[in-house]
Amino acid sequence: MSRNHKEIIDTIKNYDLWVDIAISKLRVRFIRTALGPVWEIIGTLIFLIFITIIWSKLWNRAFFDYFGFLYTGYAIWKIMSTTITESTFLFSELYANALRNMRCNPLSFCMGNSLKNIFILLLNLPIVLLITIYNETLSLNGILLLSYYLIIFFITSVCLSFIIATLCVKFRDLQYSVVVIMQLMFFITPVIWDPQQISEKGRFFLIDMNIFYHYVEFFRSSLLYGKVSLLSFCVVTVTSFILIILTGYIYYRVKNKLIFWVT
Amino acid sequence: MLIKIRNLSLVYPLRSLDHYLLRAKIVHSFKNFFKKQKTDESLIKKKNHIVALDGINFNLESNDRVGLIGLNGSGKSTLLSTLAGIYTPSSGYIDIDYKSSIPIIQPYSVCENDDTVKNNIIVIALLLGFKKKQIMKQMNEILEFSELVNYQNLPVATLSQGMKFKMVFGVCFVLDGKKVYFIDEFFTTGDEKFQNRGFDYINQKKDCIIMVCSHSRRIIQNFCNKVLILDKGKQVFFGNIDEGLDLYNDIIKK
Repeated sequence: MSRNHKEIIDTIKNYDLWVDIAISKLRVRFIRTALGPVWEIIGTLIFLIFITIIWSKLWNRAFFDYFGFLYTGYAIWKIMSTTITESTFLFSELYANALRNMRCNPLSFCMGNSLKNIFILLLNLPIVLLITIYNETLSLNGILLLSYYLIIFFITSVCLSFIIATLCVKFRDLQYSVVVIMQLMFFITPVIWDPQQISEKGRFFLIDMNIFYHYVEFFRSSLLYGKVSLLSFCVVTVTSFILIILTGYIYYRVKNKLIFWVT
Repeated sequence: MLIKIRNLSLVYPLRSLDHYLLRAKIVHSFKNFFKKQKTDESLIKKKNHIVALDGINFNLESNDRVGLIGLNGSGKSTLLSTLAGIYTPSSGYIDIDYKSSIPIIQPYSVCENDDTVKNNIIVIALLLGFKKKQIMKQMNEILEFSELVNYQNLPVATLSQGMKFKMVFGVCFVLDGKKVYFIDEFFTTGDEKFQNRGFDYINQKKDCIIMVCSHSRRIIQNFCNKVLILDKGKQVFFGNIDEGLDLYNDIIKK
């Protein structure tokens, strides 16, 4: 086993550290609030109820049907967007002091941050489960697919965090471009609008070729319909494998240089 | 235990300057475009790197207490960071067991001010490479040594700088298992009484190697048995205290 592989495996095995980073960040986020993590549910719930009231009328859809569609899509998009946006300053700001002063593997911070965001996603699950129970779409198949998705999503988040954080710490201009791209992708990706509303021609570019769509769709379909399209399943799985290889390659190339870019 | 350092060099790349240079070049070209008399672009000099450490050689043995001294910018903190494994040397050889060493370089910079003292102790200790089981086992010992038992559930923001120092000191030295300590100048933060108590505590640790970077002669004379002097990244002296401090006086006078 090469030294790089050993370092990565040791970092994964040192789960005490990255789980604690995740819990600590989550705790600090709500530390002075009376309701704590419940705010995460309340905030999203109020925002999406009002959006649903207007847009379900606009697009002539039943309230609960559209609310389920919107809530699942928005919950996962919010986490994806937060993970990517936070990654832009993960090494340059958020954990710069730790990287400068401690002998820590940068992957620990990517894992910690990704896990924190998955915990936030899980806070939304009770509402999603209520929707599926109301719509009578909760199934064992859906729960199994969701479990698989959460593992793949964590791997993707860690890899993507590392790649983006590394690129952004070297090319600081990227920090700003990623934020703009993510804002744009929110409207391009069918998070608030239904993919059925688009023509066949536009579907290929905006939906089939859009990796973000497949990540949203996998989460949404497994919960709302208990099944996932083969295309989305394959895209999400293959993407995570490609990202693992890419992360390994970048890690091998930059691990000794990274600290100089941080300082 | 033995630490061997041979021909250690560190070339520090100044990557971030490239962006400023690119911006400066664009501004320069733009200004030149409107000028009749052109100015030389080579005036914007590009410096790619600095040699932060050059040809460092020494051996350390168990129970060595080494004072690292030098003027500002001489490479003391960089040497500590390199020995601690934060920077990878550009050339040379370091024989050290990283798992048994601990870098104590501004550890309270990672404190979460809103989180409690107890939670911060856990996070700092984990980042320093200790195991959670051990941290929890020795938590009371850390709190008692740091005189923070009554503050354990209060936010770190309520602590003074000196109290934060005590907390970090407790984390670094009370927890067992480390044999090599690389200590940066942060020791000067604590009051003299606690500093002396801290050094007495460290001195009781058997078979440990401690390298402390300080401008304080008192700390070097009272605590160390060897001294390493750096000047502009180069090793000027490694040996006994009195001879080293005399040489350092000469460097200061220059």
